[in-house]
Amino acid sequence: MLTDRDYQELLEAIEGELDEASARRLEMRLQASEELRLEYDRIRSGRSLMERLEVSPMPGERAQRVRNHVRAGLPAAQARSSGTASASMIGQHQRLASSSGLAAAWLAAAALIVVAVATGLFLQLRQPSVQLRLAQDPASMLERAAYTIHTGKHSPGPVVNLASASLSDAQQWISRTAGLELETDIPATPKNCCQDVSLRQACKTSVEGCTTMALRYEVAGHPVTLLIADAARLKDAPEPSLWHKNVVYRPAEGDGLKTLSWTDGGQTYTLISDLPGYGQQACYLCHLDESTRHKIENLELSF
Amino acid sequence: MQRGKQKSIEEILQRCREGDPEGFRELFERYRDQVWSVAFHLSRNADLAEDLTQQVFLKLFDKVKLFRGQSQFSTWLYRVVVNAFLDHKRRRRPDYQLEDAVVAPALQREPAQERRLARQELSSEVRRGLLQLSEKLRTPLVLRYLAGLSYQEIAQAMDLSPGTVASRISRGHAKLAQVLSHLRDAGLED
Repeated sequence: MLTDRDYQELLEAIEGELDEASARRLEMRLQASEELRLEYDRIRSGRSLMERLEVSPMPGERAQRVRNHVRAGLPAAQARSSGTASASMIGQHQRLASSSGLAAAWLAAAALIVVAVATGLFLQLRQPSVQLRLAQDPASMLERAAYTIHTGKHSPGPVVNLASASLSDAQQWISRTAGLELETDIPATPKNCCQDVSLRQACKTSVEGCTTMALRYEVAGHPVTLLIADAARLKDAPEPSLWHKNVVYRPAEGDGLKTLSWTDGGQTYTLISDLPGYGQQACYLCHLDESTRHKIENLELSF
Repeated sequence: MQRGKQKSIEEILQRCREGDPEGFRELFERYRDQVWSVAFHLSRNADLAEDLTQQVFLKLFDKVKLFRGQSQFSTWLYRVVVNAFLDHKRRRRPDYQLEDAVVAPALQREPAQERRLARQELSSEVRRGLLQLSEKLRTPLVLRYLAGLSYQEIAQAMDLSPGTVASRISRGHAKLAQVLSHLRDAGLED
């Protein structure tokens, strides 16, 4: 049984911190003890592995949330710690408020806000059209990850079994676990939202350092994998469009699999399945309404 | 830490002391990933790590005037992270669950991309192994390799002797090698 001192000495030896006499004594002990030798090898190996560990970037969604909270907390924190109004953001605002010409600036800002709100309302209320385009660029990171997961070439670690869950359960889990949202027009989803869609599994994964949620389900017996990620964290997310949902269709060679990818509301989505056509029935997960499904079913590629 | 970089951090800190919000913004952007990463590896939970990161920066903005430069700023900062984590443990909120899984794509890679992905995959494997270690062994490893602290600085942050820190790091290495023995067998560690 090795002692704390033994472990300390082994590490010092590996890091070249032992003096010559101690190093010689350790060398003799290493020759005599297999246990010590084994542990020496393990420490060296573990140290080499730890050197490969990289700082994991804070996921974009989380960073934004923290940034907002911190920014909101900043004036109060400053007011408490500074004691002078001039040192705080509040103080800065007060100084701004006393300057001449401010009224015009406020009016301009108010007008901008009105225009922004009106535009936002317009974009929210209008029914977005869908433009389905054949992929031109090489497969994106998220598409490759979707393929890898869907075909079982990589089994993600902890997986949540959703076989007996509802879509709203899955939505809550996704939001809580990864800070991502799964938008749906299905209101108050019942346990089995529809007969032809069955949830299977969900898993939080990481694709090139970007937090990603993988949701597996079946549509009419065909397995589907949906990957959701923060678009800002992906280098090659499809460009979102203000005027329509810009969906990229990519047929895979040989195995009948196809992907549909789009960016919307700051998130990128990739669906992969072997469903017929462009695989658009995979979208049924979030669209229960018959007329919407009819539109999805009749989607055509635009060029 | 490099001397030039340290000087620049000093400038940011000076702006923070003067209450300049831009200084605080720069401080957040510069250290957020490191603070998050350390918080995540200590807590093993993304939600908790997010809370801790937020707490740390709010606390930092309030206390930055107390930092007098006797130690490296990063040492002081990571001590704040460790203390926030220990405070949380004392309060122990049960609503956080362990979770993390890492997957890497494997199709149509360019050679340079292949190398980068291989590096990231190995880092992810090490992360997965590290997260399996006990807190006692994991914390000094996180502070050593992610926060870049010396044994002396870790000892200060954890209220331990440098000898105990070295022994725990050594044991942590050995345990990690055991947990990730499949990498060793596949020759992936070198």
